[in-house]
This record gives sequence, structure tokens and C-alpha cells, in this order.
Amino acid sequence: MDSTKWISKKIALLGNHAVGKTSLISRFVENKFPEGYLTTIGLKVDKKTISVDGYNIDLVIWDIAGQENLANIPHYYLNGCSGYIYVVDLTRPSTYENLRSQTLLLKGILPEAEALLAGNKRDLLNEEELKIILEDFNIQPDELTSAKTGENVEELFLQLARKLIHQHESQGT
Amino acid sequence: MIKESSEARLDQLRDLLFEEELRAQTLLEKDVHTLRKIVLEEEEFADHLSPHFQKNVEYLRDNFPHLFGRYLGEAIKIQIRDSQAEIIDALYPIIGKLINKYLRSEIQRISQQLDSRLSDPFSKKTLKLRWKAFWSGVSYQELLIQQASSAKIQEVFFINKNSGMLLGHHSFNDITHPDMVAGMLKGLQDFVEHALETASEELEILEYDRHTFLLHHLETITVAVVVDGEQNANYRSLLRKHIFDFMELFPVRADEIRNRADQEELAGKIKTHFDGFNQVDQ
Repeated sequence: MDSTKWISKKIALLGNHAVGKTSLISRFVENKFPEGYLTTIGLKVDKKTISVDGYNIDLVIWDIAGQENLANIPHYYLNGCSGYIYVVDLTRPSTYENLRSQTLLLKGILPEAEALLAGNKRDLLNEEELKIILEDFNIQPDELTSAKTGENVEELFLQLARKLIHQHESQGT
Repeated sequence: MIKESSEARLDQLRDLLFEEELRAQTLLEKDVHTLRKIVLEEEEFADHLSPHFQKNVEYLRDNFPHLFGRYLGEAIKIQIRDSQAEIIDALYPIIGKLINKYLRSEIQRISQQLDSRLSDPFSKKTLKLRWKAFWSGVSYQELLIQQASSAKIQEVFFINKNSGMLLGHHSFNDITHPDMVAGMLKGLQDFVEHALETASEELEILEYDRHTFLLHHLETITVAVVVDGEQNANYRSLLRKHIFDFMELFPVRADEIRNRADQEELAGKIKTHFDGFNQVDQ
């Protein structure tokens, strides 16, 4: 592999408390820091290298402890983030009913960052319930995931990695 | 015949008059029998009392500190006061073993370093040290021990000051996951600075066991150096100067490190520069 095509990017997982951010990372990453850090300083950093579109990309994943309102999370943890995944719990409307305002807030903090929306805990809903939720709340997740079964977890991070590569290439020109 | 009939009638009358008493007597006899069985037969007695004891034991267990804490504390205090010599005798071997273990590992570490020096008595370093001993009046052996216990750089991290991303790293010890260490260092630094509301000041030192993280904040980069061993102010000042020398020799900004090739190039420079620092006697 041409080492100019091996890049490192910082990404963050955001969302309310108990939406499954840490579980999604645990599904995706093998080398993990002990989770005690998350409760100690509200942060845990993990890393996974993946190969996609002719690149090796080190995803350095910052798992930031959940807050009901993003305005309350320590913004300094987001400095230099190239991308983020906003995670909602499909079974708890309170985690996505303020989605629009939270998205706007994040756009303000990280205007250049690539963003994805993950609807997690897919395994707890049947097709009909899912359809009703997506229609009633007018939300369009980029991936419907289940940290429990692993459904679409890899795809979620791959999708973000592709966006980051595109971002990297456009910054290089 | 008349007599028999009158006796029967008398019995009948007695039954009628004492019916209540007779029933009470039978019950009493039964109760006495049961009690005798309980009290005299050990096993039954134990079975009978056991739930009550259990209940009390549980109560005492749950409320022990509350019920006896004060008395226990006083008793221990008195015991310690009156039996200092015995306590020292009891603890001495344990503390002694701990100290012994620590000293043994330290001596082993120092002796390994001494061995490596003594194995080449005519090396440039050895001759330099002998020369220093000659002029300073301090024995060669003492200087050798001083050097063996002195600080050594184990890890050098160049970290993006804004994001916490690792830009370059060299390990004299092969630690795993330097990216994660760099991120957590940055997170910890931010956490401490904001928790203490000292955002205008920057965290400069973290200590853990024998390891010391010395953080040097440049314009776009934080250089974190992990040092093992005792360091004095002079050592830290020399290290700071060494970092500034590096930046003069190889000026680098965080945004210039874009890929693994850039990281590897920077890591090579870090290795050469900081390896030199470990070689020089501080």
C-alpha cells in the first residue's frame, strides 16, 4: 500500500445517553480501551484501520458520553473532528424528537465535518413499527443499525470512511 | 346392680361437670409432651431455635458497624497502643518483603545498566566517565550508579494540539496503540484544564508510578515525552531545549502531516533526535 494513501481521521459518536454509541463501537472495534474511562472523564478513544476505495484509513473514534442536549457536551472533545455519527435509539422518540435542532447545533460546532445519522436498536422493531416511526417523526437515518446483532454496523463506518476519503481528496487539491 | 348403676351415673356426671377441664388436661399433656420433645431432643431443639438465631445473626451482620463500630474502634485503638511491639513484629516481615521486592527489581534494573557499561571498559562513554570522575573527585562507581538510576526517555508523541490526533511517535519500549494514548492524553488534558477552569494554562506534567509524562505545548503541536526514572529541573530544562532544537532543525506544523508517509518521516526524525538525548549523560 502506498503510504500516502494511508490516512488517519478523528471521528466522534454523539447522541443521547443509552442510545448504543459504545455498543456500536464495541461491535466495530477489536482493540478497545477499558470503558471505565468513559464514566471517569466522559471520553473513550478507540481505533480501527479499514481498507476502502484504495485507501487505508485509521478511524480514531472518540466515544463521548451522552447528554440529552448536545449543548451540554464538552465541545473541546470535538476539536479537529473530520466526521461524526449521530446515533438515535429508534425505540425512544425522546432521542430523536429534537433531531433538527441538534443537527443544526452540530453543524455550527463542526461546519466542515462529514455527518451520518444512525437509527440504532433496529432489532427491537418489526417492519411495520419501523415504518410508522420513520414516517411519523420524519427521520431518515443513513443506516438502520443493531449493535446487538451487528446489522449494518460495518456498513455505517464504511459509509463514513468513504465520505472522509472524499473530503481528504478535495482538501488535497 | 344399684351400685353399678350409681357409679356409672357418677362417671357420667363427672364427665359432664369436668368435660372442659378434661379437654384442657389432654391438651396440656400434649403440649408438655411436645415441649419435652423439643427441649430434651437436641436435634429438634436446634431446628426450632435455628431460624431465630439466623435472624439475629443477619441483623447483627447488617448493623454491625452501627452497633459495635464505636466500641471496636476504641478496642483497636487500645490494642494498638498496648501492643505496639507485637504489631511491629507482625507487620515487619510483610513490609520487609515489599521493600525487599522493590529494591530487588530496582537493583536488577540498575545492575543491567551497569553490566552493559562494564562490558565495554574502553568505550567512549566509559572513558569520558572515568575522566569526569578523575576531575570531579567523585568515584567512578558512584558516577556509574548515578547514571544508571537517571531518567531515560521511553516514548515520544507528537500530537495535534487541536484534535489530539497522533502526528508522529517513537517508542524505545514498543507500546501498543499510540493513537489511542495520544487521544486519551489530549482528552485528559482538556478535561483537567476545563474542570479546573484553567483553560489559559496548560497541563505540563502527569505522573504514574515510575513514568512521567512531560507535555510541551508548541504552536500547533503538543510534544508528550514519557520519561522513566528520577528527573531534576535541569533534566527537564535540557529536554525542553532538545524539543526546541528539534523544531528548529525540522520545523513542522500539525496540518502538514497528512498521511502515513508524513507520519513515518516525522517518526524517523523523532527517533534520531531523541535517541541522541538518551545517549548523552544529563
